[in-house]
Amino acid sequence: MKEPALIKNHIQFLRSLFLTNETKCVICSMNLKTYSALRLCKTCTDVIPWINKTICPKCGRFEVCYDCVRRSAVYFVYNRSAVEYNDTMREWLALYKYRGNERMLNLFIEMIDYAYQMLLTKLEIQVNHVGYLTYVPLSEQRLQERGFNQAEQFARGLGRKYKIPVISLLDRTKHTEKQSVGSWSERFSNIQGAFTLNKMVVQRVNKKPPLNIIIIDDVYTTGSTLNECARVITSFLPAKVYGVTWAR
Amino acid sequence: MKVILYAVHPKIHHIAEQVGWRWYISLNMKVDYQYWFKKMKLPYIVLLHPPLPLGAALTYCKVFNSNHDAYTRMSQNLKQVQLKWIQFMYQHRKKVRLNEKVYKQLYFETIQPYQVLGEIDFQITTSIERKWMHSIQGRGLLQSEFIQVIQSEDYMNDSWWTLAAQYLYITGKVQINSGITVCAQQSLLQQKQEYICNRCGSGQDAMYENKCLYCGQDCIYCEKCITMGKSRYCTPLIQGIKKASLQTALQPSVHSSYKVNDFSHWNLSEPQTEAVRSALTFLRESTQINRIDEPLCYLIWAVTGAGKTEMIFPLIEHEITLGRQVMLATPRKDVVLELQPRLQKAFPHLQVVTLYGGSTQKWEEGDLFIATTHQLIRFWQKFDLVIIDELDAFPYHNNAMLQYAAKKACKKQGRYLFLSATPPSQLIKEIKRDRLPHVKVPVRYHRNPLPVPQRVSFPSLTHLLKSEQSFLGDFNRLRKEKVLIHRIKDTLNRSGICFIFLPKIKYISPIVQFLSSKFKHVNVQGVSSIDKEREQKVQAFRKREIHILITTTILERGVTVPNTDVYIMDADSNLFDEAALVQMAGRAGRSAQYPNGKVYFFSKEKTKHQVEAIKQIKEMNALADKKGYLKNAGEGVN
Repeated sequence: MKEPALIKNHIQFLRSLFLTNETKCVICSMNLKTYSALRLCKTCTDVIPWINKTICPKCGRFEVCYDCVRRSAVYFVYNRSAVEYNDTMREWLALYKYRGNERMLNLFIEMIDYAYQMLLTKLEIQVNHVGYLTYVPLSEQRLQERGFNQAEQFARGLGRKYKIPVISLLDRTKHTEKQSVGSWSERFSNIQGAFTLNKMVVQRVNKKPPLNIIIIDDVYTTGSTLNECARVITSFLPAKVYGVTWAR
Repeated sequence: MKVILYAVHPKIHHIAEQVGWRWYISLNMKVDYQYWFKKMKLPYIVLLHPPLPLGAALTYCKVFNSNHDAYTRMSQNLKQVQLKWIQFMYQHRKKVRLNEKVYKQLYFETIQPYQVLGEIDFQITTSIERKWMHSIQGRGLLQSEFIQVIQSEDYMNDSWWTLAAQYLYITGKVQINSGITVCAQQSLLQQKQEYICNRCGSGQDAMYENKCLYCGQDCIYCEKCITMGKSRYCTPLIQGIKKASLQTALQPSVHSSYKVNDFSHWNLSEPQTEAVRSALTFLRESTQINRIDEPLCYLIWAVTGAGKTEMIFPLIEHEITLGRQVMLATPRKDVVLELQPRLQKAFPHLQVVTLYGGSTQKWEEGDLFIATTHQLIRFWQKFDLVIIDELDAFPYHNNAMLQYAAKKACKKQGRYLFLSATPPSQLIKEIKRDRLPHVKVPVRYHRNPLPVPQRVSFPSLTHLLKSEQSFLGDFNRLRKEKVLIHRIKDTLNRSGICFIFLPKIKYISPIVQFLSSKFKHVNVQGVSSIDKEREQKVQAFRKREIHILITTTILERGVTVPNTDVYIMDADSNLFDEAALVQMAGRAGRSAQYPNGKVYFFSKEKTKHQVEAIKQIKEMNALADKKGYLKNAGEGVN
């Protein structure tokens, strides 16, 4: 039967003492009974399509990859992504990116950490060998619209976690259409020449090899954005560039 | 965003009743220069550098403006006054969330006309202004929404909207508020900070703090109404002030064709007519009472199947003829879409605007608005009458945000009209205390009494499903289930349809299996909220292709099929409250051909909810009998 209102209120009060908003599931705001690093309830945790197996060693794809075969010149060494970009993940990212629900940031950082760990196992390098983290920049217009750069926030979060310096190495010179629309070749030609190196930041970079730079982005679709960023960086710096993206 | 805070002195601008400095904020100083220097001919204004986050600037602005004595009196020395101001700002920097770094940069500058007259390079014609006013009055819009409204009118460049907003603000056509403000009830000196969202009314719990690009410091936003756009501490919420009355632009023909007490053309039954009459009396009288603070409420408590929608029509007609704007808010989008053609047909000369998620008429202006409840959030003191359909249904019921939005959408002198078959307990209490004006419609349009539920003692479903394996349980079940099977057979023999409600989704499939094994030649289906074929199944049910439909409370409203009998299993479950039981019971006997549907409560225990639900239905029948509404008076009441 129903518990009396008085007792219910007391229970609620006691719960509120111990449980803050942080212990609610960030997706469905259900109360969490047990600790979870992702701050998700069990149902929401179970829907995450983690990438466990990578078929394409280059870009970390979970299925046979045609884009990497098709590309003439690849400037990054490896890319790793945490999850498969399915409808649920698309929804989650939209909640964060377009709706602006910034409470989800922590969740994304925890998830992208998974991709970062995958990259490290692949590389067999120690954490302190990663020189810098950088991110794919947004154009000024888009930044004003959205209020934040999701890739930058991911990078800063990851950098804080592993104490790796985060630098804004790239500037966006061209305001391109959203990369989420358009065909492969359109995306490829769109992105050409969209980035330049930020001269001020480059001066501060310690150029002593081995210089490893990881580019952070939210979604890796065909890889043209990442490849273009890598091309710009490698043409000015003697660096090895890797990609860590949240979804693939 | 960041805005500029500045002060002007009234002595200079000849307004007698103002005694001190007046403070304003500015999104675009060009407008203010033009207004104060060209129009009001002031010799100077005092401007604060650097720009502050909007929320902080507005709070300072409010405090300075309300505190004439301490901070706004003109003393001998302007420098001294300015020092005082800065000291004050320093004292309250934490309360307004001002960054320490920003505080250190604060200084005042006196601006004289010759310095800035070159900057005034814009022209706003009265026609543009009228257009703006038309599309913005009575709305509360966030920056991004305001830009959409203004840009669709006249687009020049990116900062065009700030010019428009500032122009409307300085001329008193809009109020500029921040999306979130520091709670007003708190005294200034108290350390504890409380924030509320000006848009949805959410308090501290809904706030989330993080770094903000637009104001360059830690900012807060509201998580509750984020699906309708982000309301921040530094985002302007632009509220268009509605002109007092709108008695314009109505054809005289509308007036002449309207007769106050004649609504025979709506084809209402006698009970409906009587209810409409008393509601109209309320609408008429409420405008004559002078009120300033709160809109008045009126409740139409009409039993299920009374024809609530039909009763709204004459009320809308009344309001519209007097040139008032009406909002009809309903919980679901399909209802909005269904009502639109009906209302447009009834009022062909009116501009009917429908609003829902993804509506194309989002920013249109009209006479009559039909919207889902969430859309109310974008209005601000616009409507003279807000009608809220199915008050007790999801999502309006127990949703503080939507209730706040409804309150805000209504003018201060406006009225609410609630429609419900099962008002929430709080309203029933108020009715008993005689605080809420209301009218009851105790009978259905076909004037037959409501079917009174019969309670049948029955084991709980959990027990029944669990005991399937046990030997003793099997024996018990065989005896018990007869009670159910017997009644279902009876319904089917009368070529009726069984509508079976269960408290939980997980019971559906075992019951479906069980019943289809018992009734092999009958179409038995189960529908729940997670069912993908839900729409098709409901359609099939409406076409009488399904004879036994098993479902949860999701179909407690809206689905009406002639000649149905209602079976409520586990009626003692705490998931079924009084309102739900009455609603489900209301599915039976809806049509005039088959007015005597049967309703059964199958339960192990006789709970308060069941007793109250039966009592409520009986009371309504008794009232209908007393008023002589029933077709065969004295015969039909159980």
